[in-house]
Amino acid sequence: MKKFMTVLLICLALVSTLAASGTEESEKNENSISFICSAGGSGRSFEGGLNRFIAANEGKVDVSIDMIALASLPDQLMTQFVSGTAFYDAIAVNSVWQASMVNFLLPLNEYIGRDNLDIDALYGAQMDAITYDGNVIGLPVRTGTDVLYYRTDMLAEAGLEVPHDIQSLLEAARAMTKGPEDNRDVYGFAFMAQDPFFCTNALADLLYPEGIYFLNEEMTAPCEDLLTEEATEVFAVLLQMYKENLMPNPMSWTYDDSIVAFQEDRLAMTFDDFMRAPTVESEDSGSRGLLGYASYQPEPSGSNAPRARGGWWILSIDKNSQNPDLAWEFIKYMCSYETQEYMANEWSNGPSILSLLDDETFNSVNKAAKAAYENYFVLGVRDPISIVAREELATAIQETMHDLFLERIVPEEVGPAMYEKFENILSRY
Amino acid sequence: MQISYRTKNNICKYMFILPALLILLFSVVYPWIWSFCTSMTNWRLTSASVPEFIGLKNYIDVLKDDKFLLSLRNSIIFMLLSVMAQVVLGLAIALLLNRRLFARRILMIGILLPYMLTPTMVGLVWKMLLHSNWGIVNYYLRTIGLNTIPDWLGDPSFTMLTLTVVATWLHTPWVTLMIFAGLQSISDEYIEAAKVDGASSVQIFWRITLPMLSKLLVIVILFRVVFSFREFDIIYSLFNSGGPGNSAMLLGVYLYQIFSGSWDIGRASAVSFIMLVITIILSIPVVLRKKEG
Repeated sequence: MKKFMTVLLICLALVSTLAASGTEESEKNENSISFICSAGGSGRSFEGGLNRFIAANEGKVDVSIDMIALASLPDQLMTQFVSGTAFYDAIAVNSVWQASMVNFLLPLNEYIGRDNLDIDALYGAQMDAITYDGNVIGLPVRTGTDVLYYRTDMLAEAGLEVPHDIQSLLEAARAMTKGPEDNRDVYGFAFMAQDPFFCTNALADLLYPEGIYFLNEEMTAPCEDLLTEEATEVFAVLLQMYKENLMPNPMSWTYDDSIVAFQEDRLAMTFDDFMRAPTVESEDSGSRGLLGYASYQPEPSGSNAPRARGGWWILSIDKNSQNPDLAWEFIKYMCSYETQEYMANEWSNGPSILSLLDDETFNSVNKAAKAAYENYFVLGVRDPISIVAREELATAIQETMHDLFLERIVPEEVGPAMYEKFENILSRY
Repeated sequence: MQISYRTKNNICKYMFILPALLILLFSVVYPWIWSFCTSMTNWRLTSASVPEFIGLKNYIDVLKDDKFLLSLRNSIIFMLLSVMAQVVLGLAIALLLNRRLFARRILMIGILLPYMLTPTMVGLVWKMLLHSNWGIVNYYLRTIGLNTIPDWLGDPSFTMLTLTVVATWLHTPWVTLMIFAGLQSISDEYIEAAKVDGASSVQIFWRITLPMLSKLLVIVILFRVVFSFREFDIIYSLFNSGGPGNSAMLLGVYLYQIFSGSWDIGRASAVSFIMLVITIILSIPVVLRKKEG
């Protein structure tokens, strides 16, 4: 009997310990919320804005922030959504996975109406991409667009103008590449194809300004322009650059490599997000003061409106949040003109209030801002694939580009290969 | 009613293992059952609609997918290369450590250090070391005058070698530790008796050491085979995808792409169950051998 009772007590103790640890809840009250975002540049700028929010509401609110790796953030958010825990009230959502999370985010229309927030005046056409069936699911907090980074000194030395189409890009890359073919001192161009996300962006930088999209306007089917000669020309030029070793191996090249290459004086030209300009031209950079930035605007050849590649972060509220009111106050503050101005000038944030791109102070902080302004207000900006199937489509793009570089397919086959893969993927959604 | 001593004893035994059984039930058995049920639905996490039962459609789609077959092939090649390298190297190092070496303990700590690191960190560090433009490996290769420098991370023909080297660096310490423990359990009397009979070192190794280690080696190989099929962390840290031309597309990467790419938890569950079946098939020889033993 003694043995039996001892064992029973041990079991009860174990079970209750397990039960207690599994149901631990954070101590939240109506004055505290949790916020999650990605680490890196965006996280740093968000933290800057957050600290201002806490300082402005000193003693009245408590906002805890968790920054995790960008690649892990969608998994973390999806786990929260499916479990319904709403541990994080305010969340930063990237345009890449925005469409996947629509059903889990709180529509903000009521709050916007209640506070008379003129979102059209503040954020303009961006709101179209953040509104689903009339529901506004977040406010834009950080926007980015790709511009052409180029070494002004090398271009001048080559006697060339800023490239304005795919052939002049090839010509400039040839002229600016230096050193022996098996061990270049300077690469004329860089194209990122290691990662599906950046590969998609890098290819969009070349195709979208020509009006050649991956998907049709409604994003329900592949775009017929992929099958045109103009698209083939872009693929052929990229292959030519790779074969002539004018660019480092794109299959192992990342955007971090481009930053390092510019700083080490080993890269002449690439497309990259304008927000990275201050990092590329840091104090010890070999390219400091030598970089120019341009909005790439070739003669349109596709059937769609020419656009520059763009993306954004929005701040949203989990549908199951226990403190949506405070979360809204936080979001509204972060996306306000004053905070956006502060985050842009102090934290290299890409402001969601686009008029700031033309601001003198911001232009002195980020020399690529003017080119970004042109992207937004002259060319127009579009996220290449902002639907649920984005990740699968991006992987298909990356795999096809790898097949091109490995010469498993010829340039003429790239468009049809992508078209077929897109059709198969979209048929499952 | 009087309970017999034997019955009381049996109840006690089961009560003692009850906590472990409960943990096993909730953390292993229940998720298995749930996952298997999910694998027969079309549940996509991003969809607002209720998941529907679709039978074995997910399994059929996966088995017909060219990318799955590619990942299976790559996984088998990686498993054969990396496990062989780990066992051979682990055995060699364990034999070396088994001798009376100067500073053996410090040597052992150094050899075990890689195993203390997380696989993701190992992948990231090796990514920097093997970078074709500013990695230290290629820097020294250029310094010694090598004309053709391999692109470890960008050339599909080097991918399997790169993965094998990194996996071997990471997992050999564990293999070494297991075999070393096995070597320590072999009585010195056998070795001494063999020496007295005039046996050479090679003969002692093949006739005494290896046979006595055989059971342990089978277990070690089984563990490494099973875990190599699940390898994901170092691959994704190195390549951020399936590698150049999908040359690093292994089953773990395939599963990850299915889930995080499409949030298709039904299909992802089907892939994980197929991987489970493969693992069980690989374990059969060991189980049969144990039964014979």
